[in-house]
Amino acid sequence: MNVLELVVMALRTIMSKPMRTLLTMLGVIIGVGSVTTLVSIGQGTTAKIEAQYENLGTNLLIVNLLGNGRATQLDYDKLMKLEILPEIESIAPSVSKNGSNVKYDRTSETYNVIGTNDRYFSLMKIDVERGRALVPADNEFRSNVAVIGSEVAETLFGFADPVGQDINIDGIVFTVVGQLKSKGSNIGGTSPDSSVFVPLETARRAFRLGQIRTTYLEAPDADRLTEAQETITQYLTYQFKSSNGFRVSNQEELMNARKEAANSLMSQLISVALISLLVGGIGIMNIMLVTVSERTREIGIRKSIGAKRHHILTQFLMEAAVISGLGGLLGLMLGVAASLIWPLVNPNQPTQLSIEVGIYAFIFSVLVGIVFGLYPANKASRLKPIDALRFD
Amino acid sequence: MTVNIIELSGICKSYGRGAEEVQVLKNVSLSVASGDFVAIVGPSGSGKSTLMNTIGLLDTPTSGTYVLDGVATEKLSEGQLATLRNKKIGFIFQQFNLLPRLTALENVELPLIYAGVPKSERRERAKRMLESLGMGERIGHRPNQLSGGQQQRVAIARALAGSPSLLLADEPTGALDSKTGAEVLDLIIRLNEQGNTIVLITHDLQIAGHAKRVVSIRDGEIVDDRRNAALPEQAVTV
Repeated sequence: MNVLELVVMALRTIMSKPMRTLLTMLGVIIGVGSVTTLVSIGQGTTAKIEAQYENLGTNLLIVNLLGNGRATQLDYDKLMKLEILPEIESIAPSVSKNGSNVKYDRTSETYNVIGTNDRYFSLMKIDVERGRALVPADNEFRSNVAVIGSEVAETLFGFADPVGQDINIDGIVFTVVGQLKSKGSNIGGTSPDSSVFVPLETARRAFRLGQIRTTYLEAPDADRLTEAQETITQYLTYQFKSSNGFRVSNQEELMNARKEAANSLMSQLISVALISLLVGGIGIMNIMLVTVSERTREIGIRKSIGAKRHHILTQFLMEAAVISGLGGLLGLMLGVAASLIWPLVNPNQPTQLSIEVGIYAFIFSVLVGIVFGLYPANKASRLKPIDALRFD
Repeated sequence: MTVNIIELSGICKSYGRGAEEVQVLKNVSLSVASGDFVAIVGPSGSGKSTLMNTIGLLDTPTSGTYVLDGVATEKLSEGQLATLRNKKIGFIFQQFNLLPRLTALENVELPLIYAGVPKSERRERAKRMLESLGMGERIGHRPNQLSGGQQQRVAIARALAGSPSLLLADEPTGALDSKTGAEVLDLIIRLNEQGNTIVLITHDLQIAGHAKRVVSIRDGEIVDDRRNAALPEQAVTV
């Protein structure tokens, strides 16, 4: 008998007890279904993280000041002088105040306020929708002007033009000079869409934010990123007379760190799902043992008319593999359906299906059947024809 | 010159050990010539089932030699015995022993599958075999859709499918009513007339009366071995 005939035979046999077969498959269905769903969520998350960083460009460096006190203070004007270096395109130092109360007319809402300079917007690839972005003069004159994110504009002004209107940030009046286009992305929890941008010096004074904590730098191209990273590291080490107290990271490092965090969570979840596949395998072994003892007489008949051990072994292994393989296919369908529905329920969590995962899941489920079918099938093949025939 | 299909010599079979040892077959020697029709008769517990299992290569004797159609069997492996059963022996059981999930045709195909006959050929052969036994109309039926007599015909077709050198029938009419039993016995007689060697195990002396030779077994020993003088020409009655 060729493989196809064996599969058809096994299908006919297992379909003669549909309820039992379905229940036996259930463990594999749930296992493969959840692995497929989790993997597609994991891949969706990774793709989302990649897209966010892609959105920002790969030439970006982020300098975080960790220490407090005079030893690790950055002077704005000194810092900006680094822009004459060929490997540094632009610099945007920033301070931020989370959870500021922003009020217009009778509407008020909590947003992040970021104090920065004009470079910030090109550096972060944020475009202006209405009015203008910050300009160098805003910083020089410490003007009380604000550029608002798309979400802020929508909440406070609806569809009206916010440019020229006065808003109140934590009790201080700012004039809106521009509204930004929606960025959609969400880096490190804060989106520019729900932020209000004001000149750096204005923010430091008005909100008593003290020193610059985060500075964004851009290299002219990706090739000179490493060079720029070395330059800024050397400069800060010289300034602070220590290599502690600050951290320079590039986009890729940040992205990899986030991807790693997401992946490690995913792989833990997937290993839990794999355990259910294992339990499914044990269920198959259990039912195959029952099947073998129920069909002892059949085995005796087959052996008496010339079946060898390998014929019986193949027959029962094939049944176990078909049960688990079919369970795998059903689980895969369930997983694909869940992966398609998931983003509808949870819009922030995209999923990404891949054919590869489907193929692996199917092969793995067939293997589960073969591995757990081995013991019962071997037991069946070892029955002596005379004992098997006497069995009723 | 007649060839012996079965040559048993000094066959002993015992179960258990020491004081518990039970000797089921005691030094049984028996030869069956090609084309013969031998009935082995004996009451239950006489050892006739064990003898039939030994002849059918389903059980191995404790001692003694058994040559089946020229092949010495005592040193064969399990797999070689399976091949020998497949090629040389056609079993006809009291309870038919058809596989319930398979159709009549598929049941008859079974020994050919294990013999490695390609699909189209074995299908054709199985079909012809069923037709020759008058079951051509029912090749697609499952055993539970057939009467007892029809099931036994399918089982006989299965036994014949591999063209064995020996037909081994164990109480073939035991599960049938007297009318269908007579029909099946008639069929077996006809198969012998066509040249098949038949060994029939029964406890019924009347059935044994239709064989050419009757071997009586009692307490594990052959107590009588005689040829029936003349076979009745008229239809068999049981």
